[in-house]
Amino acid sequence: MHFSSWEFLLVFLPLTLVGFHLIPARAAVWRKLWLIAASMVFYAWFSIWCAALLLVSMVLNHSLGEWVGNRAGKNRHWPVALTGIGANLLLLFHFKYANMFKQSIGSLFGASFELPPIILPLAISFYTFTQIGYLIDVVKNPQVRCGFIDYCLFVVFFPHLIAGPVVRHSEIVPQFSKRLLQPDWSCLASGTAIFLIGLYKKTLLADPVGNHADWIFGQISQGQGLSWFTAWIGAIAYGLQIYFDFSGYSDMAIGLAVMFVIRFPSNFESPYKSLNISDFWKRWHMSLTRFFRDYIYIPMGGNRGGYRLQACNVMLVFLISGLWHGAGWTFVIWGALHGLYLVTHLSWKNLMSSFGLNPCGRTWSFFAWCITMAAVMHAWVFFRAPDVSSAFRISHTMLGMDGISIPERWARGLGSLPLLGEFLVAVPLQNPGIGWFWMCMHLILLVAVATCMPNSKQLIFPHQRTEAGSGELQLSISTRLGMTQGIIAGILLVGFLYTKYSAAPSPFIYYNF
Amino acid sequence: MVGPKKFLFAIPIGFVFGILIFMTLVRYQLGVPTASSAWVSTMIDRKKKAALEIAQPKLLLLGGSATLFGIKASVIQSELGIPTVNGGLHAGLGMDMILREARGMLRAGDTVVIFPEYELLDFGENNRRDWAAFTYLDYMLSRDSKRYLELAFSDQLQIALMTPADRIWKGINGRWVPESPPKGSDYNPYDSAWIDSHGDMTGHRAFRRPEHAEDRDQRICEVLCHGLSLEEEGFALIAEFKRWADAQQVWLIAGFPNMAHRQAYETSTVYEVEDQLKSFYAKHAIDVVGCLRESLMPSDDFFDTLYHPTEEASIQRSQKLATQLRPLLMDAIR
Repeated sequence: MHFSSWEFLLVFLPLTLVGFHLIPARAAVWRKLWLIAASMVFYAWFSIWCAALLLVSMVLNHSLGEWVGNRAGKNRHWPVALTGIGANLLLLFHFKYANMFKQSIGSLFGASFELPPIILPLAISFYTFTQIGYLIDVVKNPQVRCGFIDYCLFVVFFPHLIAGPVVRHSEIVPQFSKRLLQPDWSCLASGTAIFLIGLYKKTLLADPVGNHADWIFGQISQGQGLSWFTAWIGAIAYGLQIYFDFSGYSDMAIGLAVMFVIRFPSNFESPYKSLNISDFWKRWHMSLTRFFRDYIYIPMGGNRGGYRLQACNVMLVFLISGLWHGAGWTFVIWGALHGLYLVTHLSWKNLMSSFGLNPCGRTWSFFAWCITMAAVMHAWVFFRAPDVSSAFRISHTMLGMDGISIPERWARGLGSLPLLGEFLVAVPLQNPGIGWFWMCMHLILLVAVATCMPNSKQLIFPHQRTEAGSGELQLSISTRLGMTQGIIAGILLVGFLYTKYSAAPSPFIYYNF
Repeated sequence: MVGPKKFLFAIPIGFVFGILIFMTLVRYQLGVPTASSAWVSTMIDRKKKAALEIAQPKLLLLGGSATLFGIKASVIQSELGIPTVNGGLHAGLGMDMILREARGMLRAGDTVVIFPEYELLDFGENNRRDWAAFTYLDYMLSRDSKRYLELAFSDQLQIALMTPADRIWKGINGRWVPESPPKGSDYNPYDSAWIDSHGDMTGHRAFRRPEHAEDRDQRICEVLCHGLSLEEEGFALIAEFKRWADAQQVWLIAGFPNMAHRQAYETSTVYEVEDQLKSFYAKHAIDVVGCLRESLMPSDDFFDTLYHPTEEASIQRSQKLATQLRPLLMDAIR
């Protein structure tokens, strides 16, 4: 049951909302139980077996949290907590990585292992990390423990369960007791607005551009080579697809939570507006970046041990991040590339500051943006390519090592340009149906949307801030919503309906992780 | 009403407004002929003309493209001496449209032999979302607008929503600048120029057979592997057609569509499917010609899809079919 499926939109969501609002405000426990039951149904829709696994995992983790919290300060609680964290990671490893490692070891030593088919429980990466975060926080501060009902709701609350945002109990659990009692029209309207923005991002922007990426990467899968031009177009198309797809999903999750008077942390803040790679990671999948920062990077020393340790920590965190995304070496290389980019940026910053330089200005910003985006798009190839060798082949082509090959018709025009003309190679390209010109126009339009338009947070939550001390997120409702916005949202709903009918269903990319 | 409430109530208003704009655009391009729909349109016109020009009782062969490509009306006519027209169209038009067009080709005293492709039995109007391909949508919007306007608004909306955006745009554009037919010198089996005066497809000779064709070489007919359900809409449409035929004094005979044989069909399911079909036809007093296993022919005899035999194979198949039809049509032959 995906957020954009009919059964979710027409049955599950309305029923859950109506049930939630029908339960009297004084019966907060029943409201929580209702949401837990609805969330379990939502998850069990994918697989009952996986729902049972999730339930067992929650019972064990909460019990462990209680045990550790009760014995805080007695020295013995850390090893037990570590064992619990290890058990969570072992479970994740078994389901997600066992076959990958067996296969890799086999190919390294020329042996072949029998790989039993393992069904990857949906969202296991997300709920494992959510629960590990809770255990670490309880070890650090036993006061943050919560009751089993709150814990269950925190873990299984359906808007974030499948693909995040990765939430922390300190920002979510306090909201259960304060806000579940006060649902109102403003929350419903703001939640609906942000949910619809996400829905439109996914169906009207991500899926159509995904067709371009699929077509180009499909050529690679069929054993055909790519030109420099098509490789870059494919990488940019995929970069745009994954952004609109995942940020759309995050918006839908945030919007759904707001409908139930819960505020999730932001997950995306216009990452393609970034002028450097460090800025990019402050804007892309922010909740996961925050998790890695708080639970891996900072405990390892962060930036406190000088440049070398910081560089090592960054590399390690991004290798783990790559592996978290998928059981494949392409993901590890993607993570390594981003680690390398960040270390390079760190070195560049140190170099500039040692010379007392601080380059700025429009030209510099544009140059910095181009470099950053080129690096990010280049790395996406490893995220999307079917295997490592294909990814390196595309990367090789993108770096111009096979010459800068562009469509014949365009080469005739650009070939006469001084300097540039000498490097261009005219190649006959298979037409992608829509035509290369219109494909490029489509991409330019989407780049403009991603870089020039305000993001959903700016549109709906213009004044979001964190409540002092608690880390709890404030639910500041937009006052901008009115008749005009409603009519625009309704008209765009026809676009969604149209894509639902005329295009093949396309699942969210992050459902794979 | 305050802002948030206004916003929520305006969404359905905007949605209705959006639907109206969209349907206005679709209506605007309705009836504009597209080059892509010319094949089906000309084919239907030509077959209707051929059928209606014959004054005496005739034999009409009916079905999807398995009939169009796989049975030669000219061969059957010369074998049996009965005027014969190939009314085979394209399964992508759906069972309802094929039977509706057939009604316009028949007169009292005629005989119609129907060879429905197995998938066609599930291509009804109530589940068009599962099967309706571009051919159906394109033809309906550009050449069969009268039928489109007769449909309920929900059906009209469904068809409009299923139509690709570039097709709608092509129709709107065609209102101002009529689309010219594509020029091509190579043989194209989906060009009505290759349909002869009997309504038979010609030119799909073995030497023109494409070297690789996934549909022909690999596609499996799911019905013959997993069985058939008599609940499928196509059965109800055939039963309704039979009632119409009886009322019009048209004799309805059913046959089995020629199809490329696969190893996967060598199971008891094929026999079960055949029994199901025969019992359905018996229940509705529809005579049957031939049997299912005979209609499964070697893959090498097929042109571009698993339902399209080459012209050579279609001649052989038609000769065999004529032999099987002869005892049934004894009175008419005399």
